[in-house]
Amino acid sequence: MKLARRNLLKAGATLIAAASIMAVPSMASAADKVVRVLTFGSTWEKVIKPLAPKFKEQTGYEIVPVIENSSAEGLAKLQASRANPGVDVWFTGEAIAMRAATDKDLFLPLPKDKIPNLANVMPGAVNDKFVAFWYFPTGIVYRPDLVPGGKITAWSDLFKPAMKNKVALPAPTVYPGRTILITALLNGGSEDNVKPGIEFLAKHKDDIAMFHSSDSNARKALASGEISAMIGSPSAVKALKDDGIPAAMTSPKPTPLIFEGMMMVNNGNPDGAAAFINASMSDEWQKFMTDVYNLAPVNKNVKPAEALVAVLPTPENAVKFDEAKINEKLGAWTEEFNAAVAK
Amino acid sequence: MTRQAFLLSLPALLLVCLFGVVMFSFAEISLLSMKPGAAVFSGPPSLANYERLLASSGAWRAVATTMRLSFIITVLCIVAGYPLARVLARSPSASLRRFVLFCLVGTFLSGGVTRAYAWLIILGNRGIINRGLEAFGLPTLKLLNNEFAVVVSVLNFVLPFFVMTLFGALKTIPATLEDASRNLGASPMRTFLHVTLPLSIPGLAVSTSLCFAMSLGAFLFPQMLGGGRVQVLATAIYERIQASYNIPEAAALAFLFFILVIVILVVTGLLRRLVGRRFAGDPA
Repeated sequence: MKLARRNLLKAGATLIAAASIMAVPSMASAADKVVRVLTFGSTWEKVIKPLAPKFKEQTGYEIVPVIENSSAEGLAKLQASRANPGVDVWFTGEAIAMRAATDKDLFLPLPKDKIPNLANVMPGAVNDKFVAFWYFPTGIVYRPDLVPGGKITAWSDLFKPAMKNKVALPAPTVYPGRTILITALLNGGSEDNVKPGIEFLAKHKDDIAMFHSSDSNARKALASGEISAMIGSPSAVKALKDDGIPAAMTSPKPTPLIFEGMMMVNNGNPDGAAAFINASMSDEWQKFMTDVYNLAPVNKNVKPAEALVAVLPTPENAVKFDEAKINEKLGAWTEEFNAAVAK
Repeated sequence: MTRQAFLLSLPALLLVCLFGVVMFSFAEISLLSMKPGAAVFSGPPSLANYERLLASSGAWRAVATTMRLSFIITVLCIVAGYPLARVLARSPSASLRRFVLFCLVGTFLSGGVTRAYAWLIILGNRGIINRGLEAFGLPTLKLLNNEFAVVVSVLNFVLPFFVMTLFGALKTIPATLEDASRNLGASPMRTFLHVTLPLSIPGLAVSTSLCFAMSLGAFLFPQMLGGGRVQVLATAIYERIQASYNIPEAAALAFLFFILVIVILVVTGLLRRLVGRRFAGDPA
């Protein structure tokens, strides 16, 4: 079939016209007050989306979500489109936030004068470029109906013969390095010497059902009874209980605390970003978050949800790691871990 | 090439150019370096990432695992896929052909993630197979979070591509040649071994190359069903970004992976030409 030049031109003109029509609504919406938030799907659905209409009423800003699968993926996307990131606020864990803060062009210091609610944030949850939205312990989430005696009280319980092939531990990339660090501390190691932890994991590699790369996959395995216990957060307990599945959590020594929150992206909308972060730190948002998400609030005025209080570690059981050190060493730890447990 | 043919092939050429640009930017980034703990990579350009990777036992282990699993999957594809393709091309039963086609198309239409979750359900401790074993009083098997689960799931993914490609090739072999062989007294097995199989080898070579190349690049199934124990090249690249955000090193590994695939495709291409000349008289 011959395709005449005139027909090609016609087709091109039609395409241009169609593209122009499609572009009209986005050009119109650009004039509106919008704050674009790069966040996790569950955070948007459970926490931010229900609060968005009231936020618009109060500030005039409409929250537009952009979903990320992981913080590293989010950072890669932001860096790849740094000339026009298209996002004003980015949700991430503290470890990656410290790494990202070295990118001085892409991330802005928090304008503390425009975020008055920062005054209510607990010490250690905020620095120049990052403020936590919540923190949580990474303890043992388990099914009381599936574990011997119906209860788990210590990390060592996970490695008993009765739990063989019933436990999921996060791969080093999930909860950055926590599996390695916990087992290192349990076996006489430290942040500076994780070798005892990796050796311990190598010894027990065939007893572990999986080293999971996705928290939600492990949670699904726990829900189906494929496994009986996992290292996880209180939000996993809530999600399972909401689905009618018996679940419990314990935070034995050492239970690492993880902070996750937000950074401001250099996207030409610092006021919108500051308004969003300020609302996130408010008593109202923090209370809503802890109740629906079962994670601990960083606002000192807000008490953790009742269901959460019982699983938060005692001060002597809690441990906070040096995220900068983890950032620096996680790549090497992951190599050692893979050499020990992978084929 | 006529002007019209050039215009028609322009979109495809532009797409190929785009792939080239992507690979070039990968190669460019792979020459940069990253300070541990930082998120910014910078120059001057060097081959340090390649030197580190070539000396890394982890990277070589990932290469070996990728090659070994791809080989196993390809062999299984030939064993399971050839009979299916032959049924599709030659079976006198239209309902059997429709049934096989329905199963293959059904597999095509279900997405990768859906299939991965389906395999999680089938192979799990409480999956269909282990429940069946329990029902007969037999011990359960560890079928999930290991290489077995990865091989089965990737095989399930690539098998339809293999069968449909080979089916097209088998369809082009005149049935009259097989009939002639049978009329001259050859048994069905002899007819297959001396007529059908040699004539189908060029098609088999193409479908095998496709199957091997797809297995080499598998990411989702090793990631979801390997239980963190099966490190292939695709997961090793992903892990370098997730664990240490070392994009230059991940880019270097991706570029080495690309070169490996090119080398394999060139070698299989040469083999294909050889078997094509030997068995079908024409390059495949």
